[in-house]
Amino acid sequence: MSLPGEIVEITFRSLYVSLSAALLASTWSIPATIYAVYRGGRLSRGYISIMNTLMGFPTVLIGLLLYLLLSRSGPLGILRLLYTPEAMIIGQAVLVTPLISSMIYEVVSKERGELIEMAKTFGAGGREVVELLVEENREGIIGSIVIGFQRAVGELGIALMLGGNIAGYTRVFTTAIALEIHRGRFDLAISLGLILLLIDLVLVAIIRLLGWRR
Amino acid sequence: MIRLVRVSLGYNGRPILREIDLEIGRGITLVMGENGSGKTTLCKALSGLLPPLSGRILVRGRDIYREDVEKPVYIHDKPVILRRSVYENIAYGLRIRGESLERAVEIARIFGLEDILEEPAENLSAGYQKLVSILRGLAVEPEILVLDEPLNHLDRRYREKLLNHLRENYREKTLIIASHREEIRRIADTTLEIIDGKIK
Amino acid sequence: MPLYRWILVIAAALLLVASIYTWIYRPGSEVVVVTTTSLYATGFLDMAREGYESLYPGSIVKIVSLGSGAALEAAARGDGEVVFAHAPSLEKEYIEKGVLREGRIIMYNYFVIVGPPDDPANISSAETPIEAFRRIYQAGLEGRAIFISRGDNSGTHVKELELWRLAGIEPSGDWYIESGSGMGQTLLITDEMGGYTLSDIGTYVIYRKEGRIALEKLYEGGTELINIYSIYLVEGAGDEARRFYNYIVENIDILIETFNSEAGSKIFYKTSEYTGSLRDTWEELAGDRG
Repeated sequence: MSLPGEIVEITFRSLYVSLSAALLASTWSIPATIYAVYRGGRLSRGYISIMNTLMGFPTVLIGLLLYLLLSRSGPLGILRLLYTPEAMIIGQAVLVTPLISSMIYEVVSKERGELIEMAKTFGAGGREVVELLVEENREGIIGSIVIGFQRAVGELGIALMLGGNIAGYTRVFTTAIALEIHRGRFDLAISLGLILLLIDLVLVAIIRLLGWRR
Repeated sequence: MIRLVRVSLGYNGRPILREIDLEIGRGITLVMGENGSGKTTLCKALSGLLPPLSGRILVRGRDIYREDVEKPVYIHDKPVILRRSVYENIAYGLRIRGESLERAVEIARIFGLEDILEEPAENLSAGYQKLVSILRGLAVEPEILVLDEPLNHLDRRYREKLLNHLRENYREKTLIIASHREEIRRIADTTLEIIDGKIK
Repeated sequence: MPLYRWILVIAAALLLVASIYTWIYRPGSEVVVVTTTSLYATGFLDMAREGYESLYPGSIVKIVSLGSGAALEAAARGDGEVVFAHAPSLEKEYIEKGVLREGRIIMYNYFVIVGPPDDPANISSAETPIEAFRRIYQAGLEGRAIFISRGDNSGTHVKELELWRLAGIEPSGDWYIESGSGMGQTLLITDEMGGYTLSDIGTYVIYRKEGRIALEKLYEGGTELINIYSIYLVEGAGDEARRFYNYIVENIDILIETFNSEAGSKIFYKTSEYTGSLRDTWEELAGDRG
């Protein structure tokens, strides 16, 4: 792997897979976490401490569990998802769910008291309170998604186990880097790493700008 | 309008106010008391935001924690500001209730805020933010309104205006004001005082 | 709820693209090949894939690289249709389980014992690799040498354990270190620690050529160090898999020649270059494990 074309392709695939994963994880992390903030109580505290605990779960183990699930002889084998970009998206979405949830919890729970009471006093129901909390914490939530993306794009275990590092199909930054290290081409591995860093940087800058403009 | 039957209030099972029996009728009721005496606790409880440890709180004869009753509108001491325009802040309650947003503009005009309606509310000074918070409550013209320390943070020129507005518009409704400020006495029909967990 | 709605819409759109992409990329004529990483890293399989795909336009070969153990396990679970492996004893296990429908030895080369240039255990003068391993053990006990093992159930690791067994040595102690990583990583560790290790020739040559390591090839040759690569068709594999399998088996010699000349060194040997029966040697290696 040395052609610029292939590097560009890997770049787009990595962005695509991990961005999808982060957004997919957000579709359930946002409502679940904010509802937990809104409800408060023991169940919500339990939910969030589970999320905090799962944050440290090793990625290769998540990869292995999902591999066993998606494998042809596994319970979901019939979907034939193993070694596809979708499998990577699902795996990374599972991986970043605890991270995104915990981050959103941190952001939103600061506003718990007064904002929720204010909404409730005008007759807002659970759904409306959750909506309000999402809108009022927009930057924090987008920031959490970005951090989720960064975690996803930088992990190796799941990408390798569920994607298989297939050239032109499921090869992403981290799997390409691992392969190039294996091939002794460290300079190429480092270049890939630098591109990954650059993308992170640009992304964070774009998000910041968007956040400020509003 | 509001009746408290042997109500104990507090947090985490520890009561601050014990076994209160109280009736609040139409007009303006002032609740006085030292800082930390439980004014806010009482206000939140009778607005349906803080379930009592024991006893029942009734609005028009119905338990606000067990039955579907229109609850009083409670306005915090600390300004609660959404990161939206002044207009959207004032209109929030109307939106939630599905009422005409025209009233947001009307009430803003009464207090002379019509020129800053489009400005982001988070850029306002604390005084204006407090006013916007209160106007959000006034805009929905609730039957029962509970104001927690409405004069705190508020600029002097708006204090007078607010008190006049309240006196003119809430005689026929129910308005409960928690405050430690003597100047509110002049618009109050009734004055209660919390001393050592009891109401006098 | 504008923000959340946006997230839902974008996520749905991205997933839709992913599914479409996957379905387009799944034309029904594809084959999933599982292989050992060390073989994949040489680039041999990518070369073979390109040759095949240009011969049969529309056919797609997906190569998934794993350790030998993992590759065979993936095949057993139905996640691969064609397997490349170089661990006869492991392969035999899976043949007996009925996972592999048919197989062929396609090529071979030799493992090499590499170590520090000053060779403290003096293995370069050893008669046999078994003898070399005994000398490393002896030097290890005396604190003059260490051995770094892959420790990852790879083909190379399996081979190494076989050699210790033949030498009658139980490898453990301060002198014996398990890296638990791939060949490249293990070579780097070995170089760093000034130890000995067993390596496949392909990875060693690449690392040496790239200047990553100063390790010397201290012992090579000998039947005990032979590294036999086989290809298998997995039970239940499709037509495309069969066609790819046949393509490799029929063209293996020309592929090896092309690859070696491009690499500029003899990385793989054709089966015809072997004096004697590779099959017998394979059986011997496979049987050793008991």
